[in-house]
This record gives sequence, structure tokens and C-alpha cells, in this order.
Amino acid sequence: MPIMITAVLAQADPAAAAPEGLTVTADAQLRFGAFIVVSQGSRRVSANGTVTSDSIYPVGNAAVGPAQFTVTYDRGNNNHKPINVIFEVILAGVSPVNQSGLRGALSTFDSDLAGAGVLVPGRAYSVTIANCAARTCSKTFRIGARLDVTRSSGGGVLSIALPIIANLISSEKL
Amino acid sequence: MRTTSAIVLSCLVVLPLPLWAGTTGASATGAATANIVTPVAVRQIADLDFGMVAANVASAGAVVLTPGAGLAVYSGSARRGCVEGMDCPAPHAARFEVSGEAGRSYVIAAPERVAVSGKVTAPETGSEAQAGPPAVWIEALRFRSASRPEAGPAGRLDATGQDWFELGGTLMVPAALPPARYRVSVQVIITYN
Repeated sequence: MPIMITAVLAQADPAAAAPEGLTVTADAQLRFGAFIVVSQGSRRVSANGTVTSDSIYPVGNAAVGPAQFTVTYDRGNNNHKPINVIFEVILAGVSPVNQSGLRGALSTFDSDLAGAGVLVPGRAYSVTIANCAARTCSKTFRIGARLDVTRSSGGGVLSIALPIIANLISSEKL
Repeated sequence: MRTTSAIVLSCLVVLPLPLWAGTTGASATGAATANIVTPVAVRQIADLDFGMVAANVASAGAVVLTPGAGLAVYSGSARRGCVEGMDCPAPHAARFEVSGEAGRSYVIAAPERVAVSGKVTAPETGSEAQAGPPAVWIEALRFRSASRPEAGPAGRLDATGQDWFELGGTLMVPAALPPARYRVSVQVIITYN
């Protein structure tokens, strides 16, 4: 008889057995727009959208803006008891790119995460989602950087990977 | 025995609600992108040359060089000043080559009106002196690109990033213009649009 009760519970809430976890989505690229560089130049796009340029000549109306990521916590069940979710965010190593007469390198990262105004690649930054009372809770944040471009010939589209890692530290019941 | 089994199974139902999680990781890779545009370059191939122009002392005239048309059109007292046996260069529009990023459009900017100063060469010494007034003007500068001939001061670079355009204009020849060689440099600016 107890075995039958257990089976009924499992069917009524199949999600109760799912493990908690994090997902990270890349919502928007870090967009530096379109511009001319004669030989060397840089453009900085901050997490708050501020753009500053040095020795570059903007062309057209290409979109410019910070990268955006969303970390979503799924507690794995439909319990709505408030919890504080703590996870760490790491910007993994960012490598310069070289392609046909162009070199692009990112530096001086910043974000709008509390305590991570200056974002150092490889360093972990703790983020808290307080009072999470739903099955899933998320934190969206933006990342800016400075792009230095060296050009010896031609042009092209530079694309530099921005790998973001999120590790769950705790989900603490309040 | 039955009671014990029931307790154990109940615990199994409750257990999936952890208070503390182990390290659970996730990752995503975004990208930073920039479109580095090949700078546009312009190279002069030929001057805008109105050739040898003659005009009456008492009345003004004009010479029109239309880009793409090839021929000079004279009006008023202005006429071609080259006579039989003289080695005179044919009037022609200026020509420029443009290079840059394939497929990108560009616009051309130049002054609307340019004053042209004259130089007189002394036959005895060969030295040059500034010609006196009145001034000669070039007005109504007109452009015609190979890619967009009807677009005026605009063009579009082809698949290899090349184009060319011609520049013409109207030379205003005032009355009583002293004979001289009139020459001026005009800055032409090309920008992507």
C-alpha cells in the first residue's frame, strides 16, 4: 500500500525529481559597430552603453551596445518557498584575433553586476538572486569592453568570443 | 515491517528539495563584433581642363564641361582659343578613381564655386607674375560616377571595391580678362554614406 501512494505522488509532480541547475544565455553581442581605422584605433563600449572612440571613423548606423547575458536558476520543482540563490560568474579567457591585415584585442572589461564594475577575465564574481520565490529566477547583466584594432590592410568583420561561465554556489532557504 | 517501508518511501519524495546545492555549472559564449571598414581612397587621374579659351574684351562668356559628355560648350563671347597649327590640349572633365570596401556607397563633396587666379609669364625672363583682376570663377561643379551616373555626387564601389567619377563645371569668363594661365586646386572629399 505505501508503494502505491509513492507512485501517485510522483505522477502528480514529475518536476519534483528534477535537479536544480543554472543555464546561461547570450542575449546580445558586444557590438562595436562599423568604423574605419587607418592604422590603429580603439573604441570602448561600456556596460552602461557609453561609447568612446580614439582614432576611428564611424561609418553608417550600425548598432553599438554592450553584451548581455542572462543566468537562470531552476530549482527543479514547483516549491515557491523564498530562497537566496548565490552563484558565481566568470568571464573566461578572451583571446585577440588576427585575420587578413587586422588585429583586434579586447581589454578593460566592465559590467553592471554589483561588485563587478571592473571585470577581470578568469576571476569569479559572486552574484545573489535574493528572495527567489518561483521555480525559475534569473539575473540579466551587461558587459562592456575596449576594442583595440590594428590594421595593416583591408577590412573585415572581427568577432571575438566572450565565454561566460556560471557556477551555482548555494540556494539557501530563507 | 509495512510501516517501516512507508516511512522510507516518504523520505524519497521529500528529498528532491535540497537546502544546499552542490556546484552546478553552465556556460554560454557570446561574441564581441566590429565591422572594420576598408578606408575609401581617391586618386586623381586627369585635371579638369577648359583648354585654350578666347573671349571678347567687352563681354563675358562661359564654358561648360559636362562630366560624361566629353565636349566643351561655349556661350557668350567665349570660344575655343586654339587656332590651326597650335598644339592645344582638348578640354576635358577631371577624372578620379575611387577604391575601398566592395559594395559600399560613397558621396563626393566639393566647393560650389571656386575662384581661379591667373599667372602671367614674362616673355623676356620667363618669370611668372600674378594676373590682375577680374577673377575667373568655376561654378556649378558637377559629378558623374561610373556606377551611378544619374546620382550626382555619389557612387557605389563594385565587387572589387573600385569605381571612378568625372568632375565638370562651368568656367565663367568675365569681360576684360587679362590673358594668363589660370589654374586652381580644388579639394574633393570622398566619404562613405
